[in-house]
Amino acid sequence: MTGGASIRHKLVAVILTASLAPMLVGFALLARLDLRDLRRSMLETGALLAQLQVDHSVAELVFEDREASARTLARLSGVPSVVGAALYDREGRLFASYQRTLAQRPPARIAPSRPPVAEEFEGHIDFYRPSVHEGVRYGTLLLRLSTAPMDARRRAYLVGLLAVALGMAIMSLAAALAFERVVSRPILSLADVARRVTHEQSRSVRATKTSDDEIGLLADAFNEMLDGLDERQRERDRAQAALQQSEEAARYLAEATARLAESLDFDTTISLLVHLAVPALGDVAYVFLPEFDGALRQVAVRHRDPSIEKTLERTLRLVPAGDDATHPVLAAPRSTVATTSRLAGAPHADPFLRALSGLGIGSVLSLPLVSRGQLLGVLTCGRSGTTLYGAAEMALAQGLANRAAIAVENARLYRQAQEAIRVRSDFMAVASHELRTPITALQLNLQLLLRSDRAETLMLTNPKKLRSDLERVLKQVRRLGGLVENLLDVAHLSLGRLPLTLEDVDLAAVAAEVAARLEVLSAKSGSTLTIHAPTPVVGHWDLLRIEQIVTNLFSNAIKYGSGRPIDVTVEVAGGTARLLVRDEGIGIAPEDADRIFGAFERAVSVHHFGGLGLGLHITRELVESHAGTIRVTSKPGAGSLFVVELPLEGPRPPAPDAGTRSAAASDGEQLSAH
Amino acid sequence: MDFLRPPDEGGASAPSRGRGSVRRASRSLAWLVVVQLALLSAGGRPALAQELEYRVKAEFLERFTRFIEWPPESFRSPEDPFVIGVFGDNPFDHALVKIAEERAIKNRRVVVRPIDKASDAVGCHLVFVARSEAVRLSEVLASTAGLPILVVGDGDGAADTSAHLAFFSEGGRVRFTLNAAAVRQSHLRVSPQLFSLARVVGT
Repeated sequence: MTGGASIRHKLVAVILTASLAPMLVGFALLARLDLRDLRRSMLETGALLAQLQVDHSVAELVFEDREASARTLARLSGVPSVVGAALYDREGRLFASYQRTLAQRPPARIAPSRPPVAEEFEGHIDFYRPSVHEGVRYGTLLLRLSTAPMDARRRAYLVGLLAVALGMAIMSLAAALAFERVVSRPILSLADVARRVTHEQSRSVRATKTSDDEIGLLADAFNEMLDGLDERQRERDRAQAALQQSEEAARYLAEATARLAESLDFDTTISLLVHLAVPALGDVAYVFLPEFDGALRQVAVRHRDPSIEKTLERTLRLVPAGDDATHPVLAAPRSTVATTSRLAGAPHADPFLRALSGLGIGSVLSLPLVSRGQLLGVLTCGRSGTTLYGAAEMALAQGLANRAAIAVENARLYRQAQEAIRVRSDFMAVASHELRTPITALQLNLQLLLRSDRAETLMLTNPKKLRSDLERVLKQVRRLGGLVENLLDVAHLSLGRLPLTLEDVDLAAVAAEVAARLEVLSAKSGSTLTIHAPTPVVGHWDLLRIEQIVTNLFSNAIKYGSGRPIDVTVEVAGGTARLLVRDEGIGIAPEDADRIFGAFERAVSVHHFGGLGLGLHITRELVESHAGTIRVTSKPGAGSLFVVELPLEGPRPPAPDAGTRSAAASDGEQLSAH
Repeated sequence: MDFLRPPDEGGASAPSRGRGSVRRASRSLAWLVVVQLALLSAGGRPALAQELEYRVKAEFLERFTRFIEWPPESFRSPEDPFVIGVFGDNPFDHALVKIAEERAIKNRRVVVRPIDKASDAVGCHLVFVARSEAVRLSEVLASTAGLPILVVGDGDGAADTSAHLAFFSEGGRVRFTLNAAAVRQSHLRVSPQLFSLARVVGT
């Protein structure tokens, strides 16, 4: 039996070996015992027959009656196994004989003293018995017994043995076939299932359990193994999908980073952001940007369907600005996942969301675009159906948002830088113009004085005229000096190196003094400057700078006051000095309200209003250097109200490690403005 | 039963004299038979044939005793001889005497005694009634009736009597009859082997 033999063959071999071998051995043992008994029986029978015969032969030998002897021997013909017999006289000569066939003729002579033995030959056994009477031996009897019965029995056993073996072989085969039906076929079925699982990659196929025996257990175990394999394969598939998703996300983010880096244009960057978000993050995406007043403005929208995008763009234009100050992302700048139905039902809902809800967008994801802790905008993605965005999608969206925030911030900074360059360029033009004008006048005046001894002539003839000319020259020089002074102040302020000499200063007195100094100017403009200062307002400030602040504000009011009255109020409220300067001039547009305090900024055209536009910037810087605030409320055409609030105790001294005390601090408090 | 006794045992207990005499007797019987047959077939002289016949018969008498048991009371002492009585003219010449001299019967010496009267048969163990006294065979039988005495007749007529054994001739051969009824009444134990050789009568 080899290892490669089929179970059927093995079963046949086992059954044959297990059943046939003991049966054959038993049969052989039985046959051997039976044949031994038969032989013993034959020997006993032969011995008994020989003894009986020899006992009857004595008288025949004694009376030498051969006929009687022959008759007696012939009676043995009744015993089939006896094939011959002979009686020998005391000399060993043949006395009488009987033979069934001539072929078995007995020997003519034997040894007279032949002992009583049984001798076996091929086909017969010879029994010798002495014929003795009363102690006298008269002769010997030979009885020849055929062993044919034994041979026949042996042959019968052999045939029986073969028949049994044949029968057992047939029964074994039948049993093996029956066993095969029970054992082999289920196993072959299992093997078939295993082959289909392996070669056809069929994961749904399972072994059929046909019984509750060991084969059934094997089928169960096999199915459990397949379930385990299936589960592991599913896990691998999931892991593969996750890996693929992760790779796709990484690719997507890398591409997004690269594309976002392509442009520094703000609008292009925002448009690119919504294009990157659709369809990767949903069916629709739009971006809010915070306005100057803190409200959000929708600036870009993108939808998978261009026709819907058109509708949404129209919706975008219809949505009033500033309604989204309560957008959840503004309240807490973090990613928010929600359904549009929930958001649309909120008290301060994004109206755009309502439009989206109507378009079948059921789930939205809002992401803050934050850079350096500053909220730059909000990216909202939406998709149809109400399945909320998952963690992986949120992570991907957040990755895009982070990159977009950087790009938006870069674009914003770039735009700011561009704007700053533009403003500086404008300033340079204005400053050049402003500086050239007095210089040109100065140059003309000086040339006039030097021409043809005009100065000497005037000195002699008309010294008054000469003095008037020189004063004009001095005025132009002063104007130049003031311009240069302002530029110096701005330079100092931008570097944080404006020194303050603090002392007790009465703001009311300063206001009155400055008003008096500017009286000519105001009169010239047609404005009347009225000061309401019922009590002195004394604070710990730098007198010259406070004078500068007041002068700037008053000059500004006179400049833009359109010749209308100007009201100034100086008061104290809870440790804070307050200076209010109200004019009824051209006013300031709301969008310019903050800008007017910037360096080199001005809200009006330089062709109509001269100056470097540095006044309000310097004023704000000086106010802030005194730990104060300045703000403006205005309405175009209705005038402006500037409010300055200064703490009476003055600016707080800087921390020892942060500020730098100058050497002048010893003879007075001197602080650096920051 | 005697005939089932193992031959070796019998051989070991047999006296040497008896065994040797038997061997010789057997040889002589065989020779006698051969000669008798030769004479008969050749039509030889009657006197010689008769002598040979009785020499055979003398042998037969002795060999009869080998298959017959006498009761112990037939002998008064261990030394008592086995007595063969010959009633009538002795036809054996010296043959019987010679056998008696050479052999023992039942381990006893053998005495051959002539008998003149039937009554003398009592005291013998075997009585041979010769042809000359065949007519008086009945007397002998009468006087030995009920006694363990073997009566042997001679001649064809004797077989018709109630003698235990009687010689007769058949095909030139000496044969004998055995009267079963007489044997049963005689207190003698006769071996069945003798029956197988004899012509049994009186059943």
